[in-house]
Amino acid sequence: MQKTRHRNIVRLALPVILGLGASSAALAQQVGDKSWTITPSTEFRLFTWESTRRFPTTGVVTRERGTQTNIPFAIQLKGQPSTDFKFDVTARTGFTTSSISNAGASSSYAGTTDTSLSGTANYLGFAGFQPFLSLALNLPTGRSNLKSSANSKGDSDLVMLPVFGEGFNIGPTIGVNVPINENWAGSFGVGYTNRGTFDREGPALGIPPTQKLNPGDVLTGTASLSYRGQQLSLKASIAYSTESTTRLDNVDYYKSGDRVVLQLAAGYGFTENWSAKAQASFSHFAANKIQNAFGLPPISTEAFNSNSNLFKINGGVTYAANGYSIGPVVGFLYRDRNGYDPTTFQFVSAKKSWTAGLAASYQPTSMIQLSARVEHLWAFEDSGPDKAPFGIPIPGSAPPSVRTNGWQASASGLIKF
Amino acid sequence: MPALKHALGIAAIAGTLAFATALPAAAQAACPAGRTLAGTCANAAQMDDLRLTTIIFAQPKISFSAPPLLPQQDGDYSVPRDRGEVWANHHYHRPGGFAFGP
Repeated sequence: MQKTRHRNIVRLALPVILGLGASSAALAQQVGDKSWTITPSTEFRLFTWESTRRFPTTGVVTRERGTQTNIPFAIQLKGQPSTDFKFDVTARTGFTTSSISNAGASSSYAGTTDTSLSGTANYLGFAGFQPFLSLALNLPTGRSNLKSSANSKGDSDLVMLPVFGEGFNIGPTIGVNVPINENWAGSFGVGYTNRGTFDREGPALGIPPTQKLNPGDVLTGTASLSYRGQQLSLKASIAYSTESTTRLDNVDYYKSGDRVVLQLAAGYGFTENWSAKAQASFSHFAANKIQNAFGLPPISTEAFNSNSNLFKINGGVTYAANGYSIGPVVGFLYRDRNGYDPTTFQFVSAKKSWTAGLAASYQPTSMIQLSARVEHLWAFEDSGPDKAPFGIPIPGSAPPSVRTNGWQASASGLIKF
Repeated sequence: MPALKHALGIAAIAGTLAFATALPAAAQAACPAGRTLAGTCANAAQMDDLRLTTIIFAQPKISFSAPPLLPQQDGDYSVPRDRGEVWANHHYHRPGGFAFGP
């Protein structure tokens, strides 16, 4: 049933994207390739870390070590066959490895990631109103059921890839850019993400060994306002999402609360050589709907909000001259504690992380761009008290504080033909 | 004299036609990213940036491992991850028995 549905969606969606790509290529030949670019690009990413966990009431200390590599590669065809139409098609996939050892046990994974195919068509013929239509697909070429490698996933706040594969997802977006004048412009859009079922490994005890998870679909509305001047550029964006119910083995599992994401970005060029940029994001979820205390449906709104608010900021200063650029980069992440009492099992404590490092790029010609980046990471997660269901403390059940030190590095190349 | 008038007339018509046909071509060349409400040329980099921002923000969960971006764009266009979903949908266990999430 599910496979038939996937096949039908692929039958409908793939021709749209491949057709867009084929017609783009054909148009490129007609126009003499002047207004078209093909951009292959790749990046090598490495993240290695060590976490120390201190359990407050027992005094036990454990150390976790992990390394993750990720090599995404993509190719993009982008062009404007006439004044009024602009198209782009992007295909991306990748390869990843992840290994984690903790308390004498270890787990590792190596394999491909999922593959995305996306295309956008824009109409530029109206003054001050530029509608566009986009379609993105996630093809399940990665692995969602990791079996014996299940413990190789890292902390989603820290690692590059916390998930190595999902189901077949299809995401159409309709939007419009509104250029107001030479400096100011807005953009508005609505997107729907239909997410397909995937297999995952069963719970820790392995019963059942495999589960079918059908994640909720997502409907999102978004708006952005942008200013670009001679030296200063600013952008503010907001998105509001609502999700349908996620089902596990054909039973209602949970429904994510509605979500708001805010983002501010700014850039400033001090001189011809010196510039700075920064970006801040905030994410808030309303309370989820969850199964009852016995893990059974129907789902209902949880007593307190199990989600945390997330605040993230990063930025850097760049010196650029003669095709080279280099400068320091910094980042900060704060995830606040969730809404549950610290003595409950649903409680998740606050976390902070900082990064600092250096980023550089070299552009030998207008077609080629090479970049590299290296950063150190420090993270700290608070501990908590012993759990006390029904008011009775369970000795030794307190979650540990977690202190993490790590390095992340990347090197990338991009060529425009 | 009639010949000169005739020639000037032809030149005027040809000039008008050339101007009329050149105008859209000039407009095309001048405004590759379209026109603003104020009638000036839109900023191409600003239009591309806004369009990509809208698409990525409108598809916050299209793909964890292969977002529809060039790898070099990930940092500028990422949407904060939903940690609760990672824990609930994909399990998150530490080797050695330490576990998070439901």
